[in-house]
Amino acid sequence: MTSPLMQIEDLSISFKIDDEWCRAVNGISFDIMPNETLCIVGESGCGKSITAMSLMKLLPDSAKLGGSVMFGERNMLSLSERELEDVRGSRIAMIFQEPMTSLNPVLTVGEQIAEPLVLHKGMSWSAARREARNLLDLVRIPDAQKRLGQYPHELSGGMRQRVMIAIGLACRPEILIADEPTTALDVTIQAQVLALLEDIRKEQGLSIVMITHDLGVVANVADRVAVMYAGEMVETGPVEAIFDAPSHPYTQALLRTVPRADAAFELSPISGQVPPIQAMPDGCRFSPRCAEEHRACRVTPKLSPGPHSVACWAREGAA
Amino acid sequence: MTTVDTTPPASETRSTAASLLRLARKNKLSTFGLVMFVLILLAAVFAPLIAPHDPLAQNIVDRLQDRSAEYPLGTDKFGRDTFSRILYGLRVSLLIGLTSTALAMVLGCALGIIAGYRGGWIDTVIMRCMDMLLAFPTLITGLFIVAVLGANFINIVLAITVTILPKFARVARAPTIALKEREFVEAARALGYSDTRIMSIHIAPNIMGEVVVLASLWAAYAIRIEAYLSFIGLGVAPPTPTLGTMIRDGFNNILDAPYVSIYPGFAVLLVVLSLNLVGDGLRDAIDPKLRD
Repeated sequence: MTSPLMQIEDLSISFKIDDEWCRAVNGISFDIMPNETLCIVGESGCGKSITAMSLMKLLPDSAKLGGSVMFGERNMLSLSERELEDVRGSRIAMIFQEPMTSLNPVLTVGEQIAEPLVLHKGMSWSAARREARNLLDLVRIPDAQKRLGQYPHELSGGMRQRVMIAIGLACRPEILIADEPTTALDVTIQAQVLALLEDIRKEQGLSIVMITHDLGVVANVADRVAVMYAGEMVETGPVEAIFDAPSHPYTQALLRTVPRADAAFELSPISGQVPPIQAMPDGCRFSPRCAEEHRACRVTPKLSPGPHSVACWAREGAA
Repeated sequence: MTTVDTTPPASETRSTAASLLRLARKNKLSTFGLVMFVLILLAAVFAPLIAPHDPLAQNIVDRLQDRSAEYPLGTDKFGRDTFSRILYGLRVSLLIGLTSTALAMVLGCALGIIAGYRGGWIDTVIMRCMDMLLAFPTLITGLFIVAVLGANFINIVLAITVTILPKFARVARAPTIALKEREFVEAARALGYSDTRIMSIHIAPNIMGEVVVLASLWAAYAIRIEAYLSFIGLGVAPPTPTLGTMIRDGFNNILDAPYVSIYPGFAVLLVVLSLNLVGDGLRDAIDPKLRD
């Protein structure tokens, strides 16, 4: 059993809305193992992105953070801004959803890939530029030398996302956080980018935390899946277990919303909506939309222990 | 994904030169402005070689003359050659105008970017100070500074810098507020870049297009302020010629010898016009979206 690369313990994130603290993320815990792809899934507004951001403490000062994010010996949440800057981009990197706007429009691709190398690795600009060329080869951008001198607007969306990946990988980070990296891309490019990320993960031995709402993506790349609902983690487990034997009513409902080639069933939407952050129900946050009922639903369920764990009273002792 | 590239790979410098040339062809007016400004600059730099007379040499016998072979643009009331004095005057005016604009641009942008990026009380403090400076008419601020500190080259540069600095701060702040919400700034933070680095390397170049256009306009304005200050007698001390002092000197004889004021005035016009044309062209050249 290898020890986890990063341990997230009882993480909670609150924002002040109308003079009242609202918990956008409510005490979630999970581990990131070395060389794995962990997918965090959930519908819009369930707290996936801010969870990812909090791993690098990239949230605005107005957010109140609780719990701990242990990276090695250090708790990311208690590091100073200065210490965080040393970790960000060099040991943990992040790629974003919108490749169209995530690159600086007035700097060349080469400059943008070389900059983290100069900053974090102390390389000279010329050495960093040579390394940038290798990185473009790594993310399989043809004609790398020419691309280095080009500006982001001269590249297609898929190319730009590859450049983003190259920038993220520049300093050989241990963890790459990808926040919906393929949402803005069309399906063929999406498949290419996912395959690329998968290959790079295997070659470089890094861990990828992928935030997505696309279960197709999850099935393709994930080793482990964490399902989030309304700021809480409702189920985690190996990808096979989640897809073949989903346990939590929300996961089950979520899977019924996606057509599958290997099973025929009626697609059905999940009725209702995610409750607004100011008015979260007591106890299990999914209970108002849940078909199953249990006498304990008014009390917040805890994730059960074990590799495939679920937070649901109706499944207690079952998983 | 693979495209067949038929054009031979051009070296970077060549493609830059080629695109500049294409730009020049596309924007004839700005090219004209640039040529004009370069000629004016050269004329100022090589004034000692070009000037037919000593700009300070008085020749009372030939006073207030119109154009002639001897005096290409006539003479003033002391019989000094107007053409030579314009050439030397350009040196002082350009030096004051460009130095103060450059200073105001650097300081004003730095203040504006910090205000926009940091927000909160820092923004309030910086921008209210800028508003205070803007509340005074430019001439009054300039006049006040020069009157208190004394009229010499450094104080005039300082006065002009202070009067146009708030305009740069305002122009830099607005796009900074928009830019800091863009994803690439967040991406930069995720890469561990410090705020100072993000402001100077990632935000500043993004607003340079707008700033440079304004700089060219305000450089023209700075040259005019210098002329104003000289005109009311708070410029560089005589007999050093500046365009403003020359216009003022001519006013005493404006009815019988209007050309004494008109030619330096025309020189101011040419400098200001060429700077404005250059500004437009620069904006196109700096914006990579228009660079093709």
